Amino acid sequence: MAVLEVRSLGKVYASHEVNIPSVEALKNINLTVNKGEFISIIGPSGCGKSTLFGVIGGLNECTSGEILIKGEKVRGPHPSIGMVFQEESAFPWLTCSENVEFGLKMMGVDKKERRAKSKEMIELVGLSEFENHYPGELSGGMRQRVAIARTLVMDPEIILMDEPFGALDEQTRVILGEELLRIWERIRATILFITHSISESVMLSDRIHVMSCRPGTFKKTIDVDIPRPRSSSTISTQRFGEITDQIWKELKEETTKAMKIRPSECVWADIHE
Amino acid sequence: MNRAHKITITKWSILVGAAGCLEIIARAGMIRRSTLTPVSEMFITLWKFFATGEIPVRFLKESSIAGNFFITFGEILLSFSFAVLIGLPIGILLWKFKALARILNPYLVSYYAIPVFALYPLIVGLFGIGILSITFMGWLFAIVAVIINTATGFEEVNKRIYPKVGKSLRLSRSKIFLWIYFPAATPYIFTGLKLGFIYSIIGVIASEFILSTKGLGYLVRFSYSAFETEIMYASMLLIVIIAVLINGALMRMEAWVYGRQGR
Repeated sequence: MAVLEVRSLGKVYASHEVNIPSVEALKNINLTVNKGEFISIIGPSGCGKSTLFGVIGGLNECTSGEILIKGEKVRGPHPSIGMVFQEESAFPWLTCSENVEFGLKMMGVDKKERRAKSKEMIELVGLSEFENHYPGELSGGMRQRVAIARTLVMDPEIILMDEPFGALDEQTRVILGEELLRIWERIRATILFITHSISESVMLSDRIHVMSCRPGTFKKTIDVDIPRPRSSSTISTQRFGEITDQIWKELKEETTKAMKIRPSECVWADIHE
Repeated sequence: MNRAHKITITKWSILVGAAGCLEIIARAGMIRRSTLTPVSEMFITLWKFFATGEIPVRFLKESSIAGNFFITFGEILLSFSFAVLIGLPIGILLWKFKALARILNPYLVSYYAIPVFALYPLIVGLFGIGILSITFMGWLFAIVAVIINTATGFEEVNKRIYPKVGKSLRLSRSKIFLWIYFPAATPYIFTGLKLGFIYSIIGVIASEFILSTKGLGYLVRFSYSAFETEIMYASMLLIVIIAVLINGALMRMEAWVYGRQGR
């Protein structure tokens, strides 16, 4: 059975002012994610990727359609969903381990159990030496590992990631991508990964949904049949190149279209998210 | 000797040099003893205060050093505590209700342009002369620094990401406020507290000159009008030393608050 199902989802940012038109951000999105899958969603900037992420995560409401988790209709943030954001979200006033423990502490889990769980997760993301460091003392890549560990420690069945490595440099991205695969294979969770990097999506995913420009909808679905385990050397295989090409062809058209959208509309939609 | 070393030495030599100059000017008789006492004697007199526990001025109502110190310090703590107890919630209200902030903003930003000490006749009329009026002045002087910095602190919290983190963890609004917004705003709030404390000190000491019959500020004024120059300088020195110590402690705390966040 599908862990996550999205049925004909739509989202319109209604305008309350006469001279500003309403914006249809998402239109008829259908998605079925099975347990343990790694799914990527790729699209041009401003196509509604983050809106979709927010709606599935329960941060924003959709205006049509529905979301089902394990067959049950949901509204609002669901306990089996964990989210990792693109922006820096590790709290600078807490140490690494305090950051990771934060969610458990809020749930009232006792200190001993919190410690044990956070230790395990920090080890998993490779930050054991930095447990007692504050985020300000770590690099951007390390801070994002903290954010990932903070989500993982809640033991979510589905992990939503919104361009988690988007703010990092290329090399760090590739390394963290590999790390993420290793972690994913260990914890056997389901990952829904939003990105605008083609190579990242091909490298990581079982399946890639290419989104069209606004209103965002799934234009094409591509299965990535490159065998696992994959590593950075996968990039140089022929199949990797073929799939990358295929996605780029789909994306190129959308990106060109997206560039013609008036910037004012994009800004406006941003504010409302 | 490296650069940092030189800077440290130069820093201290300014202080020592200034004190030395005053010492020489006073000792050489360039300025009368009744106007300026040598710095070394200021320290000696101050030392005597503590050795005997008494301030040797006739007709002084409160002549024990501890008594004067605790009155002044008590007034500072009281005015500061009320500035925080009332200023923090107001700061939070200003952040929560943007319309309120826009209404009050012109008053808040021009607040420190008004010399509140000029209002002292009014304060005397309202509260008389004594602890109440002094504490009120200290409070009046400190509270706006607390309000402004608290409001700014919450305003500067990263609204794009932190509320999302809280929501995704399914936290209630009050938990998001208490565990995310509040600590995120701490560096600014702390700046407000630091300024508020310093303003409390200024407000209290300055008010003691005019609104008091006890306390360290009053001691300066009384010994001045009683031509007890040595005692006046010793009291001034004591106030400066206390202020410097408190400021040093606050700076350390601030470094700790900010340092943790790597700012």
